[in-house]
Amino acid sequence: MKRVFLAFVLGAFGVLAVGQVTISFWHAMSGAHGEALSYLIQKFQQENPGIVVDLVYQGGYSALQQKLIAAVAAGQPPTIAQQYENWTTQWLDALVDLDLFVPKQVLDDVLPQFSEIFEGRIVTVPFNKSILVFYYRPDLIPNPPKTWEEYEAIACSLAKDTDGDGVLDQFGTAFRPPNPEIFLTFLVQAGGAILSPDWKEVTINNAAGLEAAEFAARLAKCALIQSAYISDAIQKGIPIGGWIDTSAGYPYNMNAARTAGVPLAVAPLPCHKNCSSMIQGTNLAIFGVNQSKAQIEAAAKLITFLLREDNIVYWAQKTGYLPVTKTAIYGKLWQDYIAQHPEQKIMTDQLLAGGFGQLLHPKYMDIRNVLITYWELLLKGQGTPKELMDALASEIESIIKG
Amino acid sequence: MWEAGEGKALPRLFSMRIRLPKKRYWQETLEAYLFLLPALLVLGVFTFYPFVNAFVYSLYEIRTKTVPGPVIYVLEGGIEAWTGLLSRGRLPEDLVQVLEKYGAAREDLWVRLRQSSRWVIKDDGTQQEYIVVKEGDALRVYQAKTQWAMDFAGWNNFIQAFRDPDFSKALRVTLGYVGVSVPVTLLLALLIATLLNQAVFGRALFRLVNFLPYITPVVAITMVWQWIYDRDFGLLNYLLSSIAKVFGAKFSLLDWLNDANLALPALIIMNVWRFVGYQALILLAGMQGIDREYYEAARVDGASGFQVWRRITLPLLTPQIFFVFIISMIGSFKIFQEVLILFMGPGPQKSALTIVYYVFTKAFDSGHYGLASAASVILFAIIFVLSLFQLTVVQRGVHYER
Repeated sequence: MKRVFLAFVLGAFGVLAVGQVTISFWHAMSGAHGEALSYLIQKFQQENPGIVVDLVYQGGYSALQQKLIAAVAAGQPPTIAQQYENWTTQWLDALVDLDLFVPKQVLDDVLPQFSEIFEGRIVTVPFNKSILVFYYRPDLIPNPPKTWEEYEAIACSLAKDTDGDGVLDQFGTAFRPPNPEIFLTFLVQAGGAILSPDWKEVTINNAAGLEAAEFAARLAKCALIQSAYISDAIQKGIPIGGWIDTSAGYPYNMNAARTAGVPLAVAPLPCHKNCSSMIQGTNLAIFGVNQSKAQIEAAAKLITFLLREDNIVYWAQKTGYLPVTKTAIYGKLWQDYIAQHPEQKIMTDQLLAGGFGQLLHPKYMDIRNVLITYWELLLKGQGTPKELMDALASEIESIIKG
Repeated sequence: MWEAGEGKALPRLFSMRIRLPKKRYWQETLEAYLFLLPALLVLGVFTFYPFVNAFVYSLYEIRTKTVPGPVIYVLEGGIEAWTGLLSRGRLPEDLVQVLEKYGAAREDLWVRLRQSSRWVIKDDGTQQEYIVVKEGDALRVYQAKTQWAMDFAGWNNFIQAFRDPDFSKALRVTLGYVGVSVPVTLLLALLIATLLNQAVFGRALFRLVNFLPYITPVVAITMVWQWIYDRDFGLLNYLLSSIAKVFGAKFSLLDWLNDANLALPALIIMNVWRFVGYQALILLAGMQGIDREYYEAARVDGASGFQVWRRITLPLLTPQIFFVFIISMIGSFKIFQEVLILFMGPGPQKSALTIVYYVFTKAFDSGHYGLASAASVILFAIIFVLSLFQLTVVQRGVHYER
């Protein structure tokens, strides 16, 4: 009798399991971001009873990157994962062409600022995207700067050595050496680029690159330079006039300012020849390696679901990331929301004013590493901007030609 | 244990009788190995296998790429029909028929990867992948071999490592760290052990307090030291400025974690503090193991306290000093976690970039496994040579009590 019962139970589970597809989703979203993602995944599973999503939090971005590298190398990647562009270029071969599985109208709806082509292929869709904006203390800067000239003048008028020990105690602005994206924003605002459009020539040390480097070097003299997040300094009560940071850092920066008891506001970036601002954040991609077609199709369904207007707006509202499709960003849901949240309107406007993404060169990971090295040298005045830009250009050249 | 003369006798060879051990001996040996098996398995999987592989990988250029195996079909002329379909993610009927001959079921085949002249087709049933490559006017169909593309690179990875300024820097930083931290820790440990060896009040408590840093998790320690080293609110700067005040000297706050000249000293101070108690405990145990008779004889001869320490304690402590020296040197060469946590990177201007940190970033940030393996082999060679030198030359100065 017991055996019959056992066989019945196992049979029932077997029937239930038939037709069910399980996909794994590796991510790095913690706290409120993780909760919002879990909610969306639950909603997706309710709408798609045949699909089970194994949502796996892998720790921070570095941990996720390391685990993905190891998983791809072992031929055992997850079905879908968050990833930065310079990770994607390392395992392009392992990814699925999304236009074969995700409906065309869904991919066409992605904002042009976010659409990326890797060696002629669409392998990613934007997921948690933010943009660089200007954070400032209204008590120190009543009118945020609109141009480079204003930024420099305000920042350097605020920088003060109050105790006369030869070291600044109040800072006009702040920079982080591990964050060369700020330099890239200056570069693009000056009309420059790392490489020529055909990627054959290094252009980072041309006139535009030099102008950006000189501007950054002048600002650095009035700035707090530290590797830790700027919010850490704010929290400690170190006075900083204003600085460039991602829109995703908004809750952390506001929290730090609240703890320190100082006011904080957001403004668009100061502009130069244009108002470009570098986009930050990861994309989603589907791994074809070690996955069945049914799993790929299920993951494509999940992407379609996550790019639906109601879900994008929910995600953006709960996390502070930007909506990534035209339908969502211009839709009533988001427009009503930003009418009530002026800081989100500033971030949205900043994106539409000139968001640009990472260079999709297969060796961008190595290029970024040397960018970090020279960005730090520039900030710390270890060489003239010209010397540093020329040395940087020569290193980038050896990377792309090596 | 094997005992001569036990068991069955073998024919006399060169006037020597060889006897095989008894059956009981083999049983006991087998039992011993069964007890050792779990440890051997763990060591094999996590130590010996990666150790050997590091040597192998150091000779290869490793990329995650689908590589072609044997050719199974060639289509010459009229390839447009195939390429047109493949580019839309569809499979040509005659290609399906070819793949069916290799055990693929029609419904299991799908296009996983689509490039301008290269397509990867996956068979969900057998998990086999096929690559279709356009070569001139022909299309060749290959069985895909593996996800690992390993091209033999000979010594290239080693040459590349030595040419990389980051590797030279990592080598210099690591040697500097080992060169200072190992002798300083040892000397302090010797001093502390000598003091604890006296009949002082609360000796057990001092012993415990000294040992605590060693048993505290490194992450916790490093985070506490992050606060100690803080420029504005850290304990160290507070103490130094208080001392300066007492002497009426001017003191500029030191930016331990952001100044390239202070990062390595900061790392050394923290680790000296961390390991000194452990080393002192070993040396203290050694001191307490020295036969009292030597001391009594010395006192009878009228030797002073320092003479006793210099002529009796120190020489008879050399086995422990030697042990501590070699262990701490090997450990110091492998310094990594402290750098990662204390500086959240390789330190200001890479001033705390150690070899293991270099290996870690090359492998898991940039995916240069071959280069990372070569760097780890170089590190192994350095440690091996130095250990060998110590075991042969330095050990001559070690006095073992008989």
